[in-house]
Amino acid sequence: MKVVATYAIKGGVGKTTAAVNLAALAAADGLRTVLWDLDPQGSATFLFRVRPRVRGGARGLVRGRRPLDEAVKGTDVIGLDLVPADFRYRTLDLELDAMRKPTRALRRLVEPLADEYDLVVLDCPPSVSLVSESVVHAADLLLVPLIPATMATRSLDQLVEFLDALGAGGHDGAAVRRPEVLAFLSMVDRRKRLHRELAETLPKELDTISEVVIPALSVVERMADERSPVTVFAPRSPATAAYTRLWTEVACRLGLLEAR
Amino acid sequence: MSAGRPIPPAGVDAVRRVLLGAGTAGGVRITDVRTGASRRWRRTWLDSADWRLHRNGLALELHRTGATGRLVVHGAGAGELACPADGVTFPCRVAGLPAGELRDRLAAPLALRALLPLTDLSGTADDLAVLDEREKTVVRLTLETVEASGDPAGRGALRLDEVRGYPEHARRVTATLRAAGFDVRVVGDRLARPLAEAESALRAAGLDPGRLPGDLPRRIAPDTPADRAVAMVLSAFLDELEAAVPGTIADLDPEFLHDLRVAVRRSRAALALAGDVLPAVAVEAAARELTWLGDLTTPLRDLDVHLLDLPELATRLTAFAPADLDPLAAHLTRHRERERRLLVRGLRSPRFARFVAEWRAVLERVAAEGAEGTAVGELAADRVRRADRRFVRPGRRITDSSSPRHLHRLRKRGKELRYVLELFAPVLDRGHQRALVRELKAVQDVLGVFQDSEVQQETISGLAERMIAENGSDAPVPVGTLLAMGELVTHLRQDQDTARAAFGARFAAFVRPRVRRHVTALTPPTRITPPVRAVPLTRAAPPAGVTVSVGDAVPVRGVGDVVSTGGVVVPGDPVAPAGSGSRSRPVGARAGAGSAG
Repeated sequence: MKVVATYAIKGGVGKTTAAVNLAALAAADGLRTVLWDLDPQGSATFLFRVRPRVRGGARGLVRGRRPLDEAVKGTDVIGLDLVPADFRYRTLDLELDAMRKPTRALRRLVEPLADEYDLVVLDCPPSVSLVSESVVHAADLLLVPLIPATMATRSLDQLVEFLDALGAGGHDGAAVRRPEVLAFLSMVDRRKRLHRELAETLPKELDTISEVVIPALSVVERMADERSPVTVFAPRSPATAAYTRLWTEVACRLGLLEAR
Repeated sequence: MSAGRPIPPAGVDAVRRVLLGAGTAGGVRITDVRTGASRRWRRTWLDSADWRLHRNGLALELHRTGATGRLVVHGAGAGELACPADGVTFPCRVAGLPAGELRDRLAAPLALRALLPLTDLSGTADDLAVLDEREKTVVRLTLETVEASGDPAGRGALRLDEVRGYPEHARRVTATLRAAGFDVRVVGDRLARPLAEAESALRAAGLDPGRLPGDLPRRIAPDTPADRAVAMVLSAFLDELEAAVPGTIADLDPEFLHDLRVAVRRSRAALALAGDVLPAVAVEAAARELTWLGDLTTPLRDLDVHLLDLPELATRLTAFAPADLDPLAAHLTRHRERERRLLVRGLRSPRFARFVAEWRAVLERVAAEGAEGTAVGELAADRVRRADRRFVRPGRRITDSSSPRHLHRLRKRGKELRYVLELFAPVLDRGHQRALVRELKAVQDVLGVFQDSEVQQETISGLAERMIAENGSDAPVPVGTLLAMGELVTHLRQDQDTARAAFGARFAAFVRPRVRRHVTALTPPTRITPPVRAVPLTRAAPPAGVTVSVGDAVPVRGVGDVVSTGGVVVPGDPVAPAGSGSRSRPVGARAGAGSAG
């Protein structure tokens, strides 16, 4: 079982969209996949028409009173399950802080799913927090959407600094596992010269940035109306093609598709 | 679908109407049922003749679309694995599948066995999604119609896939559809789904997954008349024998011949141990033909065993290389082909066909007619007691100086006991029977190694002589080969010595009081009344002391007129024909003579 986390320090950069579409593509490839919506806003949960409520809330989960698999709900995408968001996740930091070794908490919660799933996708809340530390420790790959702006590389630098700091010791003093990082340019508008230039140059400058670019298309925005991954309701759209290329890169990096 | 329920109208629309008309109950509301595209499917289910995949919780399917094929295996922790099957024809051995994860997954459970196409089904499938008030799919249904299923209305079966986290919706949909008369099959998780599918497809094709032709009939009870029960058991062995014939003739895998020989051996043992309850003349004829079949199959099986054992034996060579044994393998393979032709001729002969037809007719008649007299439960107790005594007594007499011949004879007695325990398994206490078989097996294992090593040493020495004689001076057998064979004999000798040393402790364990308790429990005191059909009977009950002469025509129920081999009718006891050996001793003669051990 592999764990991918979509992560960004700021919101509105296409993080949930990437998590949802990649998870749907993984399921379509026959991987048993579960998406955990850790964001209390619950956008992924809304998209899959699931009630945003987990029995026992954040406290019940992190304290192990309710195993994670009890919270799992099937989605309309065959092979893809969801751990829904809960508004009470907003106190997840506090709950984690009250525990011993909080950075290890998410990994500990996810591990029992290994028998049932090939892939776990974590859709994280945008922040630098104790939840982020725990996500970093749990993930095998951090998938980082970047908005094409001159400051884009700066936010990636910040993330790398954050990971370096965690390697030396997280909130609880223990060293945090360092996952592989794969950034990609998101919401790229080809009509803008700056977007085109950055999409061209950044992947060449930094190995951690994928050459795959996710375009800003109205079909992606329609996901909220369709309540479905774009890869499902518009399988022939350029957006689906872009997400498919991104998924292939992720799957190859994790060694998920080699055996198939 | 049970009788008396309303028959629902066919098709997807009917399912929708029923579900949408159900209203809200138990907090579950169905707002819509969406239909997907109709799919055509065609699948072939594959397994070995003895259901090795099924018994390991696996289902292997060949999905075909036009000229291309895909093999898909599901279940038992494997999830789902698939590979292209282009160019693969079935039956085929595991080595014939494309290399990869799927083949690796099947290799251990299948071992030597060939994959056979079991059943081929095609039809249409319509997917339906049941939606809740959020318009979210909460239950998935598939209306599957099998072509040529003899269902003129084409109603088919509804497969229900519970969506995780929505169990109450699944319960409600199942109940609603069943109340309306639909045949709903609930499938739990994703892994169980294809397995359940395979199971129902195989049953629809009239197969009984997991059941082997030699499995004993389930309808035998302790009070079943002994002759009927024994005939039913022998019928099962005959099924097993017949089932193995086509695969043996086609040489699909070596296990078919093994199965055939097991069926022959079991039948012979059953005749020897309980045949006295059946018509003597028919038993005598069958025993003769079974001996012939045993002899017919032995040379090929011996060669198979040598060829199968050779790679493992070769790994034990220290002074020589495994390649030194290649000429031996080539020699065995050449002889195998010749022996195979002889065996095929025998299995296609009129003699074999006549034996099967006549033996089956006898068994079916006896199994159908039954007889008053001994119940099989009593016969079982009696025979277990005797077989145990015949094993334990000589076993106690074995010492370090006993000859290999004595150990070999003891092994045969052990086999008899094992066969009796298996033959009468349906009417013996399961716990005690299994425990005793387990204990017996531990002794038999060392006796088996002892005997097999002895035989293999002799065989290898004999083979060396034959190879030298056959090859002549033009193409002499390489010295390395002969020396390597000599080293093998040394290893086999060591195996034999080890087994010999282990025998004492194993046998002592078998005769310890804890194990004796199983024997006592399986052999309650019996008062066996002699069976009606132990030997040929005269039409009218003959008075005591009447002699039936050799050549007299005697009517026997279930067989017709038979010619008596002669004997004296003892009061209450059947005639013991001269020269027919201990097998024909009256059943009750030694009943109640005290328990074994």
